[in-house]
Amino acid sequence: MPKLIRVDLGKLSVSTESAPDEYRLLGGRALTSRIVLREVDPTCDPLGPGAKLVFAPGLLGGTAATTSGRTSFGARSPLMGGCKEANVGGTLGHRLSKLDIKAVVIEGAPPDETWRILRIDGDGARLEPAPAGLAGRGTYYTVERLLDGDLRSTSIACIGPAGEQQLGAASIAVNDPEGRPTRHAARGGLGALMGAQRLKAIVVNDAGTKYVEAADRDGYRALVTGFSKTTLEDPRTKNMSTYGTAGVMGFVNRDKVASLPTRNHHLGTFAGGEKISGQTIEAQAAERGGKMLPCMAGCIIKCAILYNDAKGDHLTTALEFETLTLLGANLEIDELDAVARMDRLCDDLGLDTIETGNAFGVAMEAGVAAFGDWQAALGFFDEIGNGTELGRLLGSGTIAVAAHYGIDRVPAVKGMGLPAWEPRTLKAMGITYATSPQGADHTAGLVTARGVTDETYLKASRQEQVLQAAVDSVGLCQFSNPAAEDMARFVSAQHGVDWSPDDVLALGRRCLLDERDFNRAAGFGRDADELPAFLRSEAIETAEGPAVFDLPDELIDTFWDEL
Amino acid sequence: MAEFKTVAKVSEVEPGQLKHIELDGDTQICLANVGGTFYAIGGECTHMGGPLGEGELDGTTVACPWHSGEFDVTTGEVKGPPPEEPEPTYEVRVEGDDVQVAVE
Repeated sequence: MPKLIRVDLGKLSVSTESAPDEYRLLGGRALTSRIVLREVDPTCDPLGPGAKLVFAPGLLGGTAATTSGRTSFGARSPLMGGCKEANVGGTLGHRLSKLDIKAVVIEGAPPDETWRILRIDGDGARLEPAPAGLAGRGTYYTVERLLDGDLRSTSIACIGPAGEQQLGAASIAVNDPEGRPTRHAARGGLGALMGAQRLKAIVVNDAGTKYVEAADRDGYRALVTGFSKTTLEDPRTKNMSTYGTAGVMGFVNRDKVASLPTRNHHLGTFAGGEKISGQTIEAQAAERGGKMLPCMAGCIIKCAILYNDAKGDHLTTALEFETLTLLGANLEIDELDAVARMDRLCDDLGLDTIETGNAFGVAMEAGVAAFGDWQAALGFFDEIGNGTELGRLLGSGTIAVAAHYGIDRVPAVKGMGLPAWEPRTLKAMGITYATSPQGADHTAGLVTARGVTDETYLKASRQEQVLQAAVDSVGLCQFSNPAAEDMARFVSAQHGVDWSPDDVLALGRRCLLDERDFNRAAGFGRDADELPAFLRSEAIETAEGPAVFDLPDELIDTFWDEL
Repeated sequence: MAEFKTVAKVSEVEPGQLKHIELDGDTQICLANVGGTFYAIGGECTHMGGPLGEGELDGTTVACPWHSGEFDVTTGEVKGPPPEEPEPTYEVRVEGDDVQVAVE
């Protein structure tokens, strides 16, 4: 029987119960959001004693389906105040499933200032004081020390100094198969909640366990073979395997597309875009020894860029398009090594690169540093790491920085900094940012359609948000591009049910409604769905003329009507 | 004591091809024809059990159809992740038109 582990930091107790039957066919995002809706007071202090941090593997976790080992973290977001889910690759998810863990719920205010770690293994779960010297350290040190060389059986989820300071941009890091903390449940400031709970790390050891067997073993094995074949033959996979997510830089930076946020979202193209593109990184890797890696065992896409410095030493892994854009183009920085260094610092401090890049962009707009000044940007990380007043401000996110400097042009929706997909030229992204309960989160529904009708933009965003909520719930990576039919077959064979594609979409739909219900109870009204005014008033120049976000509010308001 | 069992006809597995074979007792074998010479290694990938004989053969390297883990069919050695453990190897002989593998 799958287990639900409850950790009460107030009582310093851990209990294990059978997961309720109603959770049997929920996993990942659908499960974390359901538990948050059921158990968390939507008006609670997101960093206070009523807050809960929930994490769960997907419905296909622990199985051979490629990319099926993602883990969802959920809570009332310290950054946005709504129901947030941030999912992450890395090695954690499969281990949780192999230990037959459905979800872990961490709650309660710690009784003292002691930093603790949560250990989970075949013998159960228990809280321990964090080893001496761990507090205040970055995620690289933390993961190396807690892994203790055991890459085969152990995974770490932890926070860095940003989480310890309870900053709004703080992430939760999970180690990759090489033992580095390069995968992050990044968005929404969930790392700040771990910091408030004074939980430095979660250590999961699955020694002695086996991969999860399917109800229909032979049927599932055949599905795995077919899905891997389809994924490998998909041209999108080849592109990802060669250039990572950074391969899209050339497309969005074309004059005709103009969708690359540049200079704090003032422009849609960046003259230095090619210097920070996946193609440049790929060419440079031949000299420096970079390579493409999977973020979890069993991923055949291998989209994670391992980036070495000029000496050939490891600098960072998982240098993503979003990072290159928000910490590169958005700051008008085209020094690739500097952006890679910033990615490393975000990983080590435990920061969301999207939120951080937006916060830095607003700070540069306020004159704290000049656009293009990469040395100053690197210096910002010293401020955050050292916990200075400026550092705490910058790490608190886009809205906090704008409020402090009196900037009313704020690139954020529902408290979340805008990702690297420009709504003025990719209009469906404006609908996703406005309507998603997750706020401005591109992974909630990425649609790059152009030149279609307003109604088609709306329909595309709606369909993608429903599908993506399902993908996040079965625990697959969106880059494996699973269709509802794929997920229905997998879930049916794995869990011994007879799901149709409609059942999969119903899972995604219900998840979105759970999140919306929580947000409404938290006080989110129509105004929370407003995009920043500048997206409607400031045009971006494109080869086809100036572009603003011009889809009417009345249309966006119908998003939920036909969900 | 290993004993030779017929697992295929020579004509069934052309040079450059693989065959996945399931024997009694849960033993699975990946039979490979490398330039006219037959090799046999364990049939389940040591990573997650993918059927190697349904993968692709490139020279002496077989790629698992599930997660692209690679093994050398002549030695059983891991050639590429995610598997970490090697595959067992089996002695192979050709008797007439029969390909035989020595199994316990």
